[in-house]
Amino acid sequence: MILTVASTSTDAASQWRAELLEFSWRRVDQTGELVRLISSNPGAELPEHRQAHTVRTLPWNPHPYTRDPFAGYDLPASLLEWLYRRPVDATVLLVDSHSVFRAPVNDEVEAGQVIATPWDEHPTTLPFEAGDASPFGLGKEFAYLAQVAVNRSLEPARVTWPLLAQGRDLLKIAARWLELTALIRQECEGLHGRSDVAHRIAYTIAAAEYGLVHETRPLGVTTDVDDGEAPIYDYRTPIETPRGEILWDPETWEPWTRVQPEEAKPGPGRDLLTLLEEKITLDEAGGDLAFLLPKRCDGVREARLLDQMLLDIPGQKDSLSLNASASAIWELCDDLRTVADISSELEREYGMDRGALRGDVEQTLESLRDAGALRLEQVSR
Amino acid sequence: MSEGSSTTARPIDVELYLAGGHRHQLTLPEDSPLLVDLFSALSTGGAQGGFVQLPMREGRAACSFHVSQLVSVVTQPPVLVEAARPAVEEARPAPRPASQAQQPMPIEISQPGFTVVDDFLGPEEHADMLAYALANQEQFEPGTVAAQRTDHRENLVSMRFGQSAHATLLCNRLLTWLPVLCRSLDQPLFPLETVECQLTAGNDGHYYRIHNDSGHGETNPRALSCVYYFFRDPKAFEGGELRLYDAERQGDAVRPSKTFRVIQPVANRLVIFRSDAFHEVRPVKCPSGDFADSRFAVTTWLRRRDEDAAPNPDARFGWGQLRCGVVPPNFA
Repeated sequence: MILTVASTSTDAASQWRAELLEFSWRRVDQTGELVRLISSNPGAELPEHRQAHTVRTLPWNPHPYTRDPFAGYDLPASLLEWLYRRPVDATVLLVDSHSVFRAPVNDEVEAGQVIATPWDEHPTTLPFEAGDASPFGLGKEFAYLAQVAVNRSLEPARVTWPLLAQGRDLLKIAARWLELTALIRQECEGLHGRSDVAHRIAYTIAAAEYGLVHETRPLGVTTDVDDGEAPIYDYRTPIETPRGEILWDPETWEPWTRVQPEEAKPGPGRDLLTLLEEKITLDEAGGDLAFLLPKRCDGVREARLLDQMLLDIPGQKDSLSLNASASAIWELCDDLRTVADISSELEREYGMDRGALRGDVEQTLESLRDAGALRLEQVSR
Repeated sequence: MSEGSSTTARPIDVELYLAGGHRHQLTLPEDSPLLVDLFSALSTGGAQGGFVQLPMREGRAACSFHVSQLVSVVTQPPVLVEAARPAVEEARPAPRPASQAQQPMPIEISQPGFTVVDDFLGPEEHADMLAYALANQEQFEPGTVAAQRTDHRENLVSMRFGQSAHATLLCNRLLTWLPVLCRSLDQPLFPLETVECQLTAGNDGHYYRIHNDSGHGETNPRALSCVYYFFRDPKAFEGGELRLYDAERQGDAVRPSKTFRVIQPVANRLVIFRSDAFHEVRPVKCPSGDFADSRFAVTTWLRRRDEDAAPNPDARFGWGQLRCGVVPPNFA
């Protein structure tokens, strides 16, 4: 059992990223559950997903007690809250919200063991003057950490997420991870302009303090790196054409506008845009409804009385009377057409705009399901 | 014994409510031993076992039931019995003379909220706590309790622990957890005034009888009590469990119930509960008697800023960077 977990907020960018992650997760048939941790104020409406479980957690950006605005607090804070409320005895695949799957990840880990992506830019790799060494093999700007750590000689693993770890191990380190993130942001001046990775540095120190053993494996790469093995892409980097022009920038892209994969440089960037294009096309064909297949229940008999269709449903005292629209939908339920297929076919037949009937069709099918006439099954593509 | 046979004592109309909704009515003289038996059964919750027989139909019949089935007793006029209670004198109402006819207030029983965090500190931080305690044995003195009997508590306390780096480490981690723990306790976050810290050692025969941590003047602002356990591995003592008692509220009076939850002292465990919850530390059995084999615990009290005082955004906690003197807007 692997739980894929991403920490997000509720803004529009988080939403499209979460939908894209969900789409790719389903597309590669990733096993287990997908969990979207959403840092938001109590009372704010949570977005819905057909596949992902959404979990509201307290917002830590800005930090509630230091006022430091930093999105990196939300990951350890939301893990801490979620895993404390729902202890997880399973492997957690922790991914960034800017990630998509290109292949499934099926490795599970034991307690105390972590499989994590190598991080070549870990601050321990930076050169420093003799005598400037600080705790954990870091430079002098981290000297402050000597005051807040019991064992300063630990060597943090040069890793980051995506990573695989046991849920209970992540719960153990989450508070210290969160605490160190705040301390590094507040107290460790300079950081060579790297305060945006304070949460990544903090993870490695917390994991070392709790004795987690890391095996490095490239679980994730950025889309500007051509690594044929990594199962996860991080798409924060703009995607370029072969001529070096920016073709797609995640910061400026208007969600769900068409992209041109064929114009991208071959490699991970083109793969990402191909995935994006595939989702856009699917959405236009009915989106998630394309994954719902109505199947008639056994024993349901149909009869016509004038222009009405009657369904005789086993176990029901009265027959169910369908009007003309519902009859047309019922007749298209042949165990082969998805909800999106039925919707498209009716729109075509009645000369209506694409998507015009989706809501009505879904509502009718849900009523038929509630009446016991059919089931709505998930299909994977 | 017969129903209403006394000519000298007042007759008392008694209604008995039993488990399952059964009800019986009878009249007993005020000095009837049966009346005492009924109140004893209520007081012990049936823990002493046995059954009660009630005379009915002028002695021609009897109703017998196990005392554990007794839910409540209504008497008219009221009969007020002062049951033997643990020493929480200030929480009890003053007994009224039986001659004052008044309907007894209903008793409400509430369970104390608490939550537990295991593996609270990192393994080396946890080991360092024990190293600190053992290196500072001379700081420990017999614990005292304000406004309580001298036999209310027996353990050793280090009052200087609060100034140590170890206390700061514990406090900072606790405050990092606080929003999550408050949510778990269904307790709104509150502006902090101060954080108090105390290190105790419980050795052979040590205990702390039923008490609560707030409600005595100076301790009133204490909102949450947090206990962090650490000790040698393998554990060299038995007992020392924390009992958190249900509270019986009758009008303005609150007292500990006979029912409780037990929290085992597990090394590197934090337990947090409201400071007004009645609790007790059961006696420790430590055959060696060695200080190093003690059950060590750091108790931290989070004091709420006075509601009449303005929040203090400049107050710093933990390692000096946490502004917990105000409630963060997002968490309010």
